[in-house]
Amino acid sequence: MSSNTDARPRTPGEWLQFGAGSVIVTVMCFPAIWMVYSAFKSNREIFRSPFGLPAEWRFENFTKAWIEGGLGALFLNTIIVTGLGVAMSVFFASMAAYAFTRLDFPGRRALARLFLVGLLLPPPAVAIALFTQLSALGLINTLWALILTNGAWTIALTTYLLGGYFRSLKREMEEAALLEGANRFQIFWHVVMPLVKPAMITVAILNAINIWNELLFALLFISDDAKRTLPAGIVRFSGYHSTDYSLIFAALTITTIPIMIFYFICQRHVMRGLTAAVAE
Amino acid sequence: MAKIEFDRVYKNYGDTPVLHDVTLSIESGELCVFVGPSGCGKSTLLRMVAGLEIVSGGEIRLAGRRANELPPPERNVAMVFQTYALFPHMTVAQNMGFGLKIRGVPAAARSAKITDVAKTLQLDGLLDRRPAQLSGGQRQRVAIGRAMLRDPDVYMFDEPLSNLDAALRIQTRLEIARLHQVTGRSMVYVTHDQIEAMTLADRIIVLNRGRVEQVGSPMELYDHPANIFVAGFIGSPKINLLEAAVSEQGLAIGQVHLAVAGVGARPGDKVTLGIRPEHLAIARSESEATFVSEVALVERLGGETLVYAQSPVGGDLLILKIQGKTSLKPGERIPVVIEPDHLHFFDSAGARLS
Ligand SMILES: Nc1ncnc2c1ncn2[C@@H]1O[C@H](COP(=O)(O)OP(=O)(O)O)[C@@H](O)[C@H]1O
Ligand SMILES: [Mg+2]
Repeated sequence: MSSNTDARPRTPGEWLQFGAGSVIVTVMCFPAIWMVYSAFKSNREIFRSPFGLPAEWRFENFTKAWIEGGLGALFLNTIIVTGLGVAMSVFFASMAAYAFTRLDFPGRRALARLFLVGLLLPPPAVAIALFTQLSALGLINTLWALILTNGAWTIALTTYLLGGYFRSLKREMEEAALLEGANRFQIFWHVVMPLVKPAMITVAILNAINIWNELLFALLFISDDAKRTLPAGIVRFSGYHSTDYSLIFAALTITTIPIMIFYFICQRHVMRGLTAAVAE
Repeated sequence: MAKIEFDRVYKNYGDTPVLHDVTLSIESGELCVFVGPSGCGKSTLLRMVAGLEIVSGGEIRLAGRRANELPPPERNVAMVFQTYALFPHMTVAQNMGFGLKIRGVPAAARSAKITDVAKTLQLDGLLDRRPAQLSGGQRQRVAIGRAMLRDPDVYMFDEPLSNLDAALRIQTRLEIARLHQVTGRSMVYVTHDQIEAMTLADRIIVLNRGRVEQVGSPMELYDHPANIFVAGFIGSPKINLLEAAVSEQGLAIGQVHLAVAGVGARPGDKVTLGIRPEHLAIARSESEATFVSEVALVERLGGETLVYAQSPVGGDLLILKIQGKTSLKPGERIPVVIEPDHLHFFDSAGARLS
């Protein structure tokens, strides 16, 4: 789709598109690239020549940031929150999407619309209410505060995306399974789930990225440093080390790289899942 | 064994009526074909028997028991879908054995049965393949195999041959006929192709715009079509339909006079005359002819020849089916004789006159 497979020479219009595209990509990627190579500099060098390449590549910045920031613990927390949050949202959203697209029950449309409200709410609007609820449940300052809120928060979008995909599936396979004697749950488990796997992987990846990077709830609901996730931990870390930018950049790089690698490995699935949901 | 009965069945999709007052019964062990033009409600009728569509009005009975609210699995019907509806993520063996697995048949017994059925359908070498790795005909046989493994009371086929090429279509048609003979189960078969219906059916149900036009054996429908629609739909090449007026002596077909008795209408009435192509013949001389016509086109099929000739009332060309070969050419004038014993008469509303 992106490669020019036919032998026809490119038109000036296409060159213009490529040019504009390159500029946009550069502008968007530069801060990230800048962050990565600045992590190798010393603090003084960062101030002396902010955009130059490092004179000496200081790998020790990363070790120092890892140890001083306690990034190991933060990593573990983030992985737990992301993993369980994603599992929760995909598990419930796939069932909700199936129910909204395949079952007939009173109030179905109204409920489906209500779910969509979740797409529109900005997190700050409910942050205080959530805080009160979580305190009442005694969950403040536990990872559950983040797992439950993030998992629930992503259910709206996940249900919406999966619903579009479910709608595009031909019903005949489910009908065939029904005639073969399968019950609702068996149809869902043996027929529908395998068919929507690409879409589930897609939404799992999108949710993983969102939850990994989530900051507001992570700052609000956790006050114990040992229970922070990476983004919140880095914010605290930059508070302690406001003088040493090289360590901050190193910590940021350590935080960002895994999720980027994860995304690049999975992006083929994402593209396939999204196009499949739109096609047909 | 299950008799299927429709008792004044109606179906609407929202406000759109799709089936009107369908009453008929399908005897146990019968191969029944629903035939009609696309969109007439054949699939809907089939899906209501399977329990995939809600019945809007009336009653469907299976083996004498009201089935309107019966959940699909309890009806013990198996369906072969037009698109086959195989599970793409399962192998051929898993596809065929899905129902057995759901019902908790142990793996060993399952695989024995699958191997058995696969052998009769010539699928033995393909059990580990996925549907995407099969040809259209093989997919079709997997879908039939899946139905066979259920050992249902009723087999249902919804246009099962429409995605196959011509040669495969005839072969699969024969296989379905054999399956019917071997199992002795009731079969309901849906098609828009009247030749499929004629060749397969014990009994044909002709549907048009959501109504049953006629029910009968293939030959009953061919020899005694109940109305113009059935007459025109059944039979290939198509029946010749001519506007005519009843006269004292018989019929006036344009300028042509035909001496027939028993039209079943009063002089002056307008009727439609139906003549099968094989009941028009070329006379030896003009004196024996009913009328003289000009040849427009000749189609030679080998054993028989179709001659298209000008109609005495204008409009559509007449079709004559002649045994053997002929040297006729377009533009030639031929004496045509109508065999009076095989005529069909329809009133102005389209219903058959006795
Ligand atoms: N789910 C549906 N919603 C609304 N109308 C439908 C639906 N399914 C079928 N129809 C309509 O019902 C009529 C009969 O359809 P169908 O039984 O599929 O016809 P056939 O199988 O004879 O071609 C058609 O006019 C079709 O447009
Ligand atoms: Mg149909």
